[in-house]
Amino acid sequence: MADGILVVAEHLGGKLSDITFEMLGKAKALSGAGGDVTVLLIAGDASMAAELGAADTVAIVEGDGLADFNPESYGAALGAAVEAKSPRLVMVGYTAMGMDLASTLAVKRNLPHATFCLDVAIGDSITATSQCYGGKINVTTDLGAGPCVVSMLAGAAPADAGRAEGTPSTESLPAPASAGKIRFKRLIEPEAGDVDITAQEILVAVGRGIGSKDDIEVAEDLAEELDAAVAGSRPLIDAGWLPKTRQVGKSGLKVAPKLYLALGISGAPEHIEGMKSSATIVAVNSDKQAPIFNFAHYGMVADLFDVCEELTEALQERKG
Amino acid sequence: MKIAVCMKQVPDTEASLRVRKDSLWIDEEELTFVINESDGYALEEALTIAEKTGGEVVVFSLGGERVREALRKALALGAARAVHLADPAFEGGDALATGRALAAAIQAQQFDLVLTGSQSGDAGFSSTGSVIAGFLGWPHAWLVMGLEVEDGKKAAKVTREMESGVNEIVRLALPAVIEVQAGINSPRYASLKGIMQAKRKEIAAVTPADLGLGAEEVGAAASLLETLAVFFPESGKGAEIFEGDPADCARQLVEKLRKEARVL
Repeated sequence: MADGILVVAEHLGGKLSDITFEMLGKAKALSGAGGDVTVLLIAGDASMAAELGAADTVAIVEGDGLADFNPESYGAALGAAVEAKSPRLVMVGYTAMGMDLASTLAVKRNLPHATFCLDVAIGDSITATSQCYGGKINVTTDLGAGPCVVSMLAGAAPADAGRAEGTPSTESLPAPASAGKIRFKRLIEPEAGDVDITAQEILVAVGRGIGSKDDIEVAEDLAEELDAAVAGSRPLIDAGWLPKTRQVGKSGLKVAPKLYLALGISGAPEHIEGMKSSATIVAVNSDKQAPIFNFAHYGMVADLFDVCEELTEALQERKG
Repeated sequence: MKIAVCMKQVPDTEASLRVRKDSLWIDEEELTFVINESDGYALEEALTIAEKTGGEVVVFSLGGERVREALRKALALGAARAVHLADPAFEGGDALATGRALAAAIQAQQFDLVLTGSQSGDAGFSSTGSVIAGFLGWPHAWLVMGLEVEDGKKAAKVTREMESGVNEIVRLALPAVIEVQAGINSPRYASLKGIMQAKRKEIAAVTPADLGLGAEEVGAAASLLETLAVFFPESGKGAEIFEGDPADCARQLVEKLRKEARVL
């Protein structure tokens, strides 16, 4: 399988994650020129394997200590699969699990590793386009002829392409022993908040641009006028200005309201992942380079306080 | 405990970026550089642990002359001394090349713990800490939002983020590399006393040879990634931008949201 592609599947609560199908669809398209697509399914079962019809092979690893994510045991399983399959390209998700595994694989086997990937192409050499500077800049890199590793951003490719019917062959790979320096203890589920931001029709989301905790009030005024809830990007939650339950993004909640107003949010890839499915996105930012404008339907390059005030007034006028 | 902190200096997040003439990176002239956000949190975490358990914090950074400013700031905040991977040969590397150099510098001294940020605000490889752990043969944890060194200092209990707000608690044998997330603590400010003391603290400049590494094992020469081009993503695909008087813009937007998007 020196031409092959190995896709590392992810699943949560017994369900395969979208990123798995996104990567599988991309891998299938890339393998058109030859080479098999193998999905590595760690701690998965036959019913999950049956959903991976787009793959040529599903390699399942089962064993003690694999029920929950442990970088050591999962890393050993991925290492063994790469050893067995000698793929030209290993695809993982740019996720809490995927990135951890990819970095470890790259250092253990001295492989080129491109992260934050939006796209990957295979020719004589493998090239990837990644986001950097919080999504402000893209970079195209050459990873050589392979083997190599790419971590793909969620949403970079359509998941539907990876949901094809098919009958991949399945095989079982042994779970290698790990060094035992990392022990899984337990999972902590997120707490429920006073307001469920995933259930709102309109969200007024604020970011770093708001500047201070007291100034969130202007967003609250606007939210009241819109009958909306206030949400925020990670830096505000980190600063303790809004509760964790109001956080939109990769490490927070994924939302898809009818209207998403992003005020002073630059639009780092981790934030975009949490709100890009919103029906209408309005971005207000004083930085015209802010990547949020690439995702918005309407935008204003302006001071968010001016805009908030004027919007609140315009809405009152309309009602009036 | 003796704790190493690896920090990177990155352009301010508010910086206006320009692509360099050769299109191979951004133009770094005229940019303001700051300590990478999550690395600042890593430093705070290290200082807190060192205060509780005794011991010292040593900061490491790789890069040109400007990096000394970041190291000096870390010394003012309470780090005991600093190591500057100062040779131009160190620069331009991918996470593997950078991690190899940092691991060698760390290995030259005895540490119980290495702390660094989970990702940088510029290149964003998000893997330098994991690479350092790989070279040292130590366990690591990424995206760490809670860290507790157990009595006896043989292990640490770590809370790390998974997807969708779920956290995982793991126990790591020490020595280990911990890659922290922004928000894990509240970083302190430097005191005047700290700033004065920092002037007398040591910043040791090291070269690849000092670390037993050949020039071909570090920096751009060792990088397995070759940058072909950097460019701005397509801007405002379909986004309608309102400009001018904020009151006019606000009225126009409300009309659009009502009549076109039909969300009001």
